[in-house]
Amino acid sequence: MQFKVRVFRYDPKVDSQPRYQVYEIDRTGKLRVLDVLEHLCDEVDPTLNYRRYLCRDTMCNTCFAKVNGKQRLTCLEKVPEGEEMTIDPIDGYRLIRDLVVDFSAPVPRKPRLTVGDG
Amino acid sequence: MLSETRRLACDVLVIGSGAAGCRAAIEAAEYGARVLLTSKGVFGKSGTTNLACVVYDAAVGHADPQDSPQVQFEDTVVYGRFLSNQALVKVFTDEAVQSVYELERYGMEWWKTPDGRFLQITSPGLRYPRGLHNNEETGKKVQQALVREVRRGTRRTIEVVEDLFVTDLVVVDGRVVGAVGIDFKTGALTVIEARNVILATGGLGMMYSVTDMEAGSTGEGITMAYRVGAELIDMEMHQFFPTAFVYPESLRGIIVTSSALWVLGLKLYNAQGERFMEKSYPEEKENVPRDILSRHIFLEIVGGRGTEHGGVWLDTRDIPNFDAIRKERPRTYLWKDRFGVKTERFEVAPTYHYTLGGIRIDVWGRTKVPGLYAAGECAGGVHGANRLAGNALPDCMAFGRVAGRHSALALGPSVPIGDVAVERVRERVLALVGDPAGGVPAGQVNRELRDVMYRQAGIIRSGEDLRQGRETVRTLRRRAGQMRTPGAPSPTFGLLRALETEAMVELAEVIVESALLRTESRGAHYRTDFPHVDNSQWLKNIVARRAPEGPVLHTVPVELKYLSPEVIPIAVQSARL
Repeated sequence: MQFKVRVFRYDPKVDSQPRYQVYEIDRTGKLRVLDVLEHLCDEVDPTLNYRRYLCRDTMCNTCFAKVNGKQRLTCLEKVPEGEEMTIDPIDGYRLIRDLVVDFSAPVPRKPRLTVGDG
Repeated sequence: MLSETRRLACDVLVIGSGAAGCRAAIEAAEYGARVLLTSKGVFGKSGTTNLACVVYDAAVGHADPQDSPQVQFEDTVVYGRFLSNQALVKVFTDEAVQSVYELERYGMEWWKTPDGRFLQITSPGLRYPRGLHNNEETGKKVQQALVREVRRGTRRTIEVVEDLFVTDLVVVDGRVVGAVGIDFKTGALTVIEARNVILATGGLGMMYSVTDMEAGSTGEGITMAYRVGAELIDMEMHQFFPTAFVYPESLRGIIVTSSALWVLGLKLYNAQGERFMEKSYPEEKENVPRDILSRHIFLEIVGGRGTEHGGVWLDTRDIPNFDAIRKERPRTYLWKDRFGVKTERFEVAPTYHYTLGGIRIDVWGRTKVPGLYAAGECAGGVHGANRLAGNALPDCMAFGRVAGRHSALALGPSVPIGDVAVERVRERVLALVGDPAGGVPAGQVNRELRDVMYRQAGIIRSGEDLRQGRETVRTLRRRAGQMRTPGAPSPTFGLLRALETEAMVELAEVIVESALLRTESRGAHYRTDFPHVDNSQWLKNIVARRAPEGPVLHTVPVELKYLSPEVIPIAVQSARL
C-alpha cells in the first residue's frame, strides 16, 4: 500500500526558506515513524537528515519530531492511519538541518506576560 | 561541502561520550589536563550506555557478605572461559566497588533496602547476588550522573563537542597527535590537536543485522585504531543476548530484559510447544549463561522448530503477579503493547549485544601506538569469550578512570597537524560524494554486510560458512570502494553512513578471519565443525594487525596469572557452564 510522507527540508546555510519533500513509500512492515525515517534516509534519499545516533528504544529521548503537527517520540509513535503523514522538526531548539535540532541550543520562548514599570 | 576547517587543541582528546568516555574525561581533568570530549550524537544521549538495562556488578557484599572482588574476578574469568586477560579483569573487579561510590557521589541513585544497604540481584553465572541496579534504567541513570559531573560548574577544563563524527586519527612520527572529524552542526572539517587520545567509541553491533545496540555503534573507533597500527584482540568473540523481539518487524532486535525472571517462572517453548531447554539442562532449564541459551534458541529456529516469524515463544503466564512486574517495567512490556505485542507470550530470538573483542590494551588502557588509549567496549580482551551480565558498566568505569589518569600524567608533546594531513582526510571523505547512479549506494553495501555477518559470522559458525562469508566480505569491500552518496551543501548522515560502511567492511574481514582461525568452540564462538572446547590448543588469544594486503593474525597464549582451568574444581565449572 502506497503511503505519502511529507518531510520538512531546510538547510539554513543555503536555503532561503523551508520546503516539504514528498516521498512515496510502501507501508508494509514500517510500524513506527522512526522506521519510516530510517528507511527514507538509508534507501531512498541519503541527503535527508534526522537524528541518527539514537537508541530506538525510548531511552535517549532524542528522536523527537512533529508527526502531523504533534510533538512525538518517533520510536514510540505508530505510523498514523490514513494515506499520508507530515513530519516536522520539533519547536524550541535551534534548527541544524531538516529534522535535526540542536538540543544544547534551546530557543527561548517569548514571555507570555510582561510586567510594566508602573 | 566541508570547505571550512576548524582547529581545536587540547591535552587529552576523548572520543565517545558513553560511560567510559565521560569517566575518562572526568579523571583526566582531575589530574590537570585540558580535556576535549567528543560525541557522535547528542552528548549524554547517544551511546549504548543509556541502553544498559539492569545490573551493575560490584562486590559490595551487601546481599551476601561472602562476596568479594576476588569472587567477582573468579566468576568473570570462569564465565569468560579462561580467555580473558586476567590482569585486565583484576583492574575492573578491584575498582568496581569504588566506582559504585563514585557514581553515588556524582548523583546516581542506586536502589537500596529499607535499612540503607544496596539492593543486589543475581543473574546466571554469579556465585552471589551482585547486581546493583535502578530498575530497567540503570545505564541511563549512570549516564545522567556522569553527564552531570562532566558539566559541573567547577569543571572548566572539560570541553564537550557534540555531533562530531571523527573519521581519522592523525599519526606523526609513529605517535597519535590528534584527530580529524566532520562537525555535523557547522559543516566544518574539524582538526583536533591532542597530546594523548582516548578512544571510548563503544562496540560494533550495527555490523550485524539484528542488534539491540544504539544506532551509532558502528565500530569505526576500532577501525581507526586498527588503521593506525593498533592491535585488535579476540575479534571472533561477539556476545548475543538470547531474548529479543523478532516480531513485529520494527521491534526486531530490541531486548526483553528478563534474566532475573527465569527463576520466577518465565519459560521458553518452541513452535511445537516443547520446553526445549529441559532436554539439555534439566536442572537449570533456561537459567543458563547467555551464550548457551542463545545457541539453543538459534538451533531450535534453524532446526525448523521456530515460530512463524523465526523465533521461539517466551511465556510469561506462569509468573505469579506478573502484572506488577509489567507495571514496574513499562519500557519492556507496557509500551510494546502499542505495537500489538501481546505480553503474555511473544516471539523472541537472539540479538547482537556486546563486542567482546576490540582494541588490545594494557592495564593502563594503552594501545601499542604511543599516544593512543582505549577504554570500555571498544577495548578487547577483558571479558574473554563471554561477558557476565552486569560487568559492562564497571568495566567502562574502571578503564575510563585508568586511561584518563594515565593519559593526563603521561602527556606527549604538542605536535601541530599540517595542512597536508588535513587535505588527505578531506579528499578521502569527498571521494565518497558523487552521483549514486555512477557508483554503489552506501545503504546497499551496509545492508548486505550486516546481513552476511549475522548469517555467517554470527551465533553458529562453520568453516564453510565463514569461507563463504569471507568471499562476500571481500566483494563488499571492493564495492565499498565505489560507494557514492549524493552531494549536498552541508554534510549529510548519508555521507556519515558511507564512512561507517567503509570502516565496517574493513573490520568485517578481521572478524571473519579470526573466527576461521579459531578451530574450537568456546563461549560466544561456536563452530559446528569444531564443537568442543580445546584447552590444549586454544587457551590462546587471536591478535590481528593491519597490513596492506589484509589482516595479519597471530596467536598469543593466555597468561593464566591468577587462575587456571585446572585449579577450578571441575564440578563447579560444569555446573555453571
